[in-house]
Amino acid sequence: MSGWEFFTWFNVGVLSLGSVIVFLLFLRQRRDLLPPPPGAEGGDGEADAGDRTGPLGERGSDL
Amino acid sequence: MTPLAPIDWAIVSAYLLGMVALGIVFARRAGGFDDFFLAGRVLTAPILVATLISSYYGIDVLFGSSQLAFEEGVVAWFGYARPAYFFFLVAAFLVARRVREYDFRSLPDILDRFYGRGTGTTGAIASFLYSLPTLSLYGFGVLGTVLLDWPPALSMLVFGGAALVYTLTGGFRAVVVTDSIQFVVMCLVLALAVPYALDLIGGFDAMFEALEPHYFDSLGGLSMWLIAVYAATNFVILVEPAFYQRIFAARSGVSVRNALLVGIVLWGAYDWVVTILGMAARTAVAQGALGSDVAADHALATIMIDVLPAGALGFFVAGILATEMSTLDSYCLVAGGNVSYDLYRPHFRPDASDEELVRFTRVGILFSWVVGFAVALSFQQMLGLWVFMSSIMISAVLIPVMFGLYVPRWRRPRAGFLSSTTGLAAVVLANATIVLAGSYSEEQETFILALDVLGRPLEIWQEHSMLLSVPCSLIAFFVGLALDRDAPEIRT
Repeated sequence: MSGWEFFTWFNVGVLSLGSVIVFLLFLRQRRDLLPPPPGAEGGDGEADAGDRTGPLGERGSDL
Repeated sequence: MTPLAPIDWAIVSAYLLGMVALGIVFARRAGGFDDFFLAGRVLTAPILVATLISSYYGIDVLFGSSQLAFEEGVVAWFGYARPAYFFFLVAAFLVARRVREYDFRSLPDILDRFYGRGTGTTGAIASFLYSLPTLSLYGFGVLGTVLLDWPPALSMLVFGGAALVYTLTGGFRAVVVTDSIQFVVMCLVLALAVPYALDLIGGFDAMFEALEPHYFDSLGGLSMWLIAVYAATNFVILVEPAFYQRIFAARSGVSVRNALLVGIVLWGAYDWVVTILGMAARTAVAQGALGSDVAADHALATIMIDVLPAGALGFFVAGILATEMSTLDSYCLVAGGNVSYDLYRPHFRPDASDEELVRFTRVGILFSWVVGFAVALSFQQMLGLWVFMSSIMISAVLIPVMFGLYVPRWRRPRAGFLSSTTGLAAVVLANATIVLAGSYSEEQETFILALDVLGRPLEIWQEHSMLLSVPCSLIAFFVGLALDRDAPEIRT
């Protein structure tokens, strides 16, 4: 196997595995994207984010 | 005659309907302006990875890079794609955290708060022009012609229309969710294509036999000067309005930095796979497996139509649509925000309510889509248009934003205003001169102004315009700084 060939399959692996892993992490954190309940508008964005790090502990992480 | 089988149509239709349905779901949940435009500032690193990659890479990258690989080989990755990763690294370590320290909502908002309303307005105009979805809509036109045998306007209306619907209804939350789905579809489809393409040509050994040695030369047959000029266009990454919007929407600067670091690895893999697919298409032409009349920019799509079975081809088309829809939605939203938050609010309604801003953002999204559609129908030289739009952004915004972020004592109104307006005027003037007084080169796909300087020929390309306009913007900044040396520093 040449260096070009190895590099190609390596990148195919990175692309497919990497995208699936990122997508799975997105699915785990998808509830972050739900808007705040009615009546909770007007708060600071950062505070909102903190408020919703509850049931899933990893939501507060940066990856 | 379209190469799509009924199963392919079913997959493409399901994908389009799914995207629109998501927009409708999020429409019922939209809140205020921060919610509509910045998704409540809750984006974490994985979500940022997905939305950054899918937004920044459209089919201009897919078809443009594969075209270059088809014509020149691996230089498409080493010479053209790789310099961008350096700028992403700079953005990750120097820009993201610094920008996130402030409570900005848009890129022009930075200029407005550092230098005043005039500079913010100039930045908003530059950002709006840069964010027009012209290239995406044009790409849909090409895609429909090549893959579906549709007239360009119909493809633009159907595919661009679907992206418009969910962006208008669901705002940034819908954009981010659809981006995340589109991200995995576009990456997997591309990875899936490699074994099929290599099987068609007989593997790498056949590629080495069929292609000339320069295809495997990391600099190809291109001059360092040309590569340097193209690399300089990556400065636009440092003033990318959709990138800044994601920084503002992030939970923290660290999230953005981590997302960019992961993103660079995935961008690199994506670019390499596109490069190999372009070279595989060239090999297939040399072997006679593809017609010799295949257009270089359609090479990737052509080889996929040839090798993918029914069903897989449907996913491929959905993947290409995903690649472009994720770009179109992001830039339409940015343009809409420029209209409402950066132009309408400061000039007409400083006390505009959240509801009013959301309404005007929707108007702006629609307006930018219609303008982009009109330009895409009437303009053919898209590469030149992209160079012009990037040059505008770099020339009007780069100098004042960077100095404003890193040298607080230089935040003087006239410094920012003179820098942005001079940069904008210089780039428009330079482009107009090159286009009107020069001629279009089919070979180089750009406008070139040929001059005779002291008996020596000199060629000025459209891509060179920012080499003039950025220094003009820099000089004007220091002139403004000198004029305002006694003015108080603006504190944000």
